[in-house]
Amino acid sequence: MTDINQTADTVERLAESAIPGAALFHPIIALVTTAIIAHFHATGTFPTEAEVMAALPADYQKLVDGWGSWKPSGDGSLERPTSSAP
Amino acid sequence: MKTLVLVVCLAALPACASAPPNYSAQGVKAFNADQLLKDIDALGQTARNLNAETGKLHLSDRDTAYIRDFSLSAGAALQAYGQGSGTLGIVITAYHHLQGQLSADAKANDKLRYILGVVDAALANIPVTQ
Repeated sequence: MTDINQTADTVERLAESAIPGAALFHPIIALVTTAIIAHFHATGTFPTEAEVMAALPADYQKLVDGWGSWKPSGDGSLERPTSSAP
Repeated sequence: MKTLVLVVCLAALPACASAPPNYSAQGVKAFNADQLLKDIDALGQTARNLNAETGKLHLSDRDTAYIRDFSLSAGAALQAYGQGSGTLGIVITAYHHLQGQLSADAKANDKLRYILGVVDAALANIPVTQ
């Protein structure tokens, strides 16, 4: 059976990664997905603790992978010494 | 329009950390950790997008690297926290350290400020006693 919570999470992730700037609207996306989750919670299909525990390493891996693919723009700021001014 | 978006965002913030009522204490920790992890991932995505931009919204490589370092260390700490070891204090300290590292240009970047505000609010939503 399809896990609606996972589906909502997937929709949220896809929207944020596919649409430039969508991450800025995370609270709105979260509100919509949370409303969907709340609906299915009422019908008894909220994810179990085990599912939540399993999502954590997967989301951490997604974060690590996102940074792994980052290519600095090459604006030279990494080569400049940091300011010691307070 | 900007004000409207801000109002909607602020109204929606609690949605980012509403743990289900029937979870155990550890389940609530895992849920909160995962929600915060997603917000920090959104911060990273925004930083990378702004780094690729040119012009006024460009985020420097150095500022982006600071956000990367924070994201990776906070992510690891959150994973440990959600699995029952470690505390949120490490994440909060790292976040304050990041705020001190970011350049004036980064702090003045509207898009970055919005997403930093989301992380700020998500951190504030998790009870300190946890």
